[in-house]
Amino acid sequence: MSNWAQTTNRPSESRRNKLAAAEIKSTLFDTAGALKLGRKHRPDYLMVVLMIVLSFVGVVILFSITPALTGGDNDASTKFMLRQAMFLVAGLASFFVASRVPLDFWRQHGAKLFVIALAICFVLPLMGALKIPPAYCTLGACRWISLGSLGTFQPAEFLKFGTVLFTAGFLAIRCARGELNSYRKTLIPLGVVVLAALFVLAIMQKDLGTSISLAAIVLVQLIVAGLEMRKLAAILGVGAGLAILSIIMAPHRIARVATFFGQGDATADYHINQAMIALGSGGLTGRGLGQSVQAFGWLPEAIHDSIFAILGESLGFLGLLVIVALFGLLLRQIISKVDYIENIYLRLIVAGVFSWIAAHVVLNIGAMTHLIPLTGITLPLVSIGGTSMLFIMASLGLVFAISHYTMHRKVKAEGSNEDASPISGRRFGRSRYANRSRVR
Amino acid sequence: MTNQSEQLSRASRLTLGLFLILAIFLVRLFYIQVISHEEFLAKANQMQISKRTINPERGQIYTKDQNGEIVPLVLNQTVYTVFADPTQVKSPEKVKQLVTEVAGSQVIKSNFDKLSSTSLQYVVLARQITHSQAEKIQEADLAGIGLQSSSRRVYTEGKLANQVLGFVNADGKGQYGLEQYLNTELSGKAGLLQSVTDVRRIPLTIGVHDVSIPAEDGTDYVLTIDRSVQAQAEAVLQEGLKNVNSDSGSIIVMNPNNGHIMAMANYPDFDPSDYTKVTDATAFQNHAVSYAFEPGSVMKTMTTSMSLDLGKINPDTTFTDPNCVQIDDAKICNAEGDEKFKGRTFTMTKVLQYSLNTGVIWQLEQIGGGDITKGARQTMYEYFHDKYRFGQTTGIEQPGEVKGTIFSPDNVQGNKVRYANMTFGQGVSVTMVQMATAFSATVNGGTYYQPTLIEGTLDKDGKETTRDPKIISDTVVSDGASRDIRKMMFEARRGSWPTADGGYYVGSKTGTAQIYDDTTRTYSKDRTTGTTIGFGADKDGNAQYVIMVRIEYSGNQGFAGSVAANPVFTKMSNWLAQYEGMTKP
Repeated sequence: MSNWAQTTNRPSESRRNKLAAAEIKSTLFDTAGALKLGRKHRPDYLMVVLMIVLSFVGVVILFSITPALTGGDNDASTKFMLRQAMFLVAGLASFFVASRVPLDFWRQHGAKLFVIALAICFVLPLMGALKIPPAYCTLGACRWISLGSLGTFQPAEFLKFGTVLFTAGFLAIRCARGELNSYRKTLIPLGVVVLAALFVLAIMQKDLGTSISLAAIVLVQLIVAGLEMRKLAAILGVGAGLAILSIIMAPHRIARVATFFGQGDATADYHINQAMIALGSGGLTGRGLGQSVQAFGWLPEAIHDSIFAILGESLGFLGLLVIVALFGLLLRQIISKVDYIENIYLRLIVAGVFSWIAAHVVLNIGAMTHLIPLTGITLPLVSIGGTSMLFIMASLGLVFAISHYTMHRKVKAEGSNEDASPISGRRFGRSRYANRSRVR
Repeated sequence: MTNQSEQLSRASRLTLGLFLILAIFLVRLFYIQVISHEEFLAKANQMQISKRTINPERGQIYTKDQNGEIVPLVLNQTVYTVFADPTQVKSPEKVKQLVTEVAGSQVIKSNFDKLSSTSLQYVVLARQITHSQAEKIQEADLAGIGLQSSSRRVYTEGKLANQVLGFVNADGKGQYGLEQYLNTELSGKAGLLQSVTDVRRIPLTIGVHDVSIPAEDGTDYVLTIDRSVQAQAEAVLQEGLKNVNSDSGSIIVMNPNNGHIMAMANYPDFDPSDYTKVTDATAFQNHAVSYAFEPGSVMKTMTTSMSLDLGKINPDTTFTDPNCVQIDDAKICNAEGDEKFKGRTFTMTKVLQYSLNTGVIWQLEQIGGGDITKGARQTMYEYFHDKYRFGQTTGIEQPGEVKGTIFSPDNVQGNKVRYANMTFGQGVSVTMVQMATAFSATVNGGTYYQPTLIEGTLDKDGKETTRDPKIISDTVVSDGASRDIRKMMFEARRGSWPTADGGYYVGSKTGTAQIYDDTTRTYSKDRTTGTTIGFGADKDGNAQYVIMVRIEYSGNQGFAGSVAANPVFTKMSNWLAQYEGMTKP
């Protein structure tokens, strides 16, 4: 515990920065070297309600298309529904457990979890290539661990959870040392780690959607930590360059992009077309629950990546309006914590969870509505049964635990420093630290 | 810039950015789901709704055997087409071996080469294989091989009654004969199964577009054709044609008391199960209804019936034969060799027996009070056109029936000469079925029954619903005139062929007519139509059957009617008299 706290003891470069860093450090740890949490109060139950409502929507829509998935076999339907209910229970359990784990536990072990997850993600494709049993591959992508009758486990979701913890911890220390905007100390080391993870996900596992959401997690955490806008621009530039490179290097990604521009391969075209038909045929009020036709094999991945289109077909525009609003509300509930928490580590965790869920929502709905290319990613909470649900619920549990420690007022750091980090500017493009550097 | 203390926090900006994106999504969703709803719904329906036609079973055709039992004539059989999807075929060699082994001659060998093609998905390997062959293919369960069922007609009696039946073409449409005439009734009504389906085209129970209209199978018909009579008629006709080296002829056997056609055959004919082999489409035609010709002297029976009915003559009325008569600018004589009769006096029965043209012209003159007046012609037209219904279709259930030609006296063509010729069957054209039906009316007591091939329909339990004979007129001729003409024909026939009928009460009249060639606009010199029409009656002289034979004759052994047609009539009549168990007088 104290080990991690001691890492912030290095001197910062400038005097001003030293002061700022000291201030961050003072909000980060208490005298015992544990996380400084503030007064515990009533947590954010609205967030939990929203989470349960959304996962309930998922269960309802899933049950409504059960006949389509089981071919009308009653026994199979019952089994299927039971299984999905168990997944939901498992998800809620993981939320509960995560919300009860002391926050210091994550601070201590977050980095380890990240390393373990990354190692699993790295080994999996190698095992898949060698056909070693628990590794489960489809269409040449080895992203899953087979759990027999329980289904499959996708360690990439674990990795995202680990990334949220690791980056939050890493950036919190850099902030406390006043080194956030240092290429040498912060950005390049973090960049190397993130690129390694992206290599494992995007190249080895061929999982573009997860790669993008992982990059989004780190990026949003950097922004919230107070990254200088120029450096953010530089990172985005490098990221875009790498993205283009990865697209050019992988034929199936070129195909997906081509699909998006209306001239791709038949399979991906088919998926998007079917999603659009599902949405469009739903109309204003939808065909009604249980009346989805597209679920009967027409729309690929109906219960996972395409559940949004099935929702649109069944409940219509009005139904989706409510669901999008629920997501908006949930995400707002999460991100709003950032402005009310002094402890930078916890703020970065909240930011990471926010960007994780937001990335899934945007990538999923954007693909289903043919606004961005298809990346193959679940709609959080609503797509029942995936590993993604377990970890998204766990991450919400984390945010719920943090919601015990919000302050009444917005964090107001020395007048202009609302997120309490003297190093990072609150305003885009104008960090105090950056100004100072330039003045100096 | 530095003074913007009211600026939003980064978190708030992220929230704002997210909400902007979500708003864009909602606009997009509104566009897809509300504005473009109809377009996508149409796409969805087109894709999700499958319409499947349920093919009805084509009506089957039945006939009756000698015991009056209903027996099938035309049935349906399910046959299979073997096809391959080369993209799915794993072993072209195995497929080739199996299909060749099972389907044998029905294999389309040239298509085996296409089995290794990767661009094709449908290659037909064999057609029209039977159910048992199809089962063997199915049992082998080779990848990429499929079977498609279809229905084909099976003719249990082979070629029997081929032109009456017609055939069903590859599109399932009836061609010629009953198959064409009754196509709508035989076809039935296709059913429709419209349903929302899953991606494998399996119908779902959801959806408001579901339609299920069952197919209505076609009507099953029982023909008036008697299997044995038809077979005999075909055999007798064929043999008779062979005997006189002819290649064209027809025969009709009908029941004069209800208009039922018991047999109807023509030559040349065809095999309906192998109709594609036919090169000349005339073989498909039922000439008994579709070919009008000048019948010749058989018409004298019709003229005589008219005169009897009008009371102008009786069987024993006599006239003196002048051999030739001058009518306007034409000199009309009896047939060659009849000069010897000049100046002799004949009864009207003898006029029929010796087939004296002058005798029937004389009858017409009697109707006009000694001349072929307009009134006489008018009367004859009323009989021939209105009562005998020459120049009108009979309505028999066959396609392509022709009316024949008869000129009314009001027509410039309907002059004295033509009417004089018409009394012995020249200058007027009729079909076999017109002639036989009109003749039936004159020998059955004066009732014109519409000729028919349909006795009734069969329901699904095999129960027959018979149709009532359709009476067009029951005052064609009087009962007395009918009795007289039967007697006259019976005596005339016995006068010519005393022993031909083995004692049965049979009357007949032959005819030999020149064939008018439309292209040269003259009568052919070496080709004649030989006809015989007659009846067989029970011991009381009540007609039980009517037979008409027509044979095109090019020989020179005598008059075609006597030489070519009469032997066929006699043979048919003798067989039929026994078959029907007729009593002798």
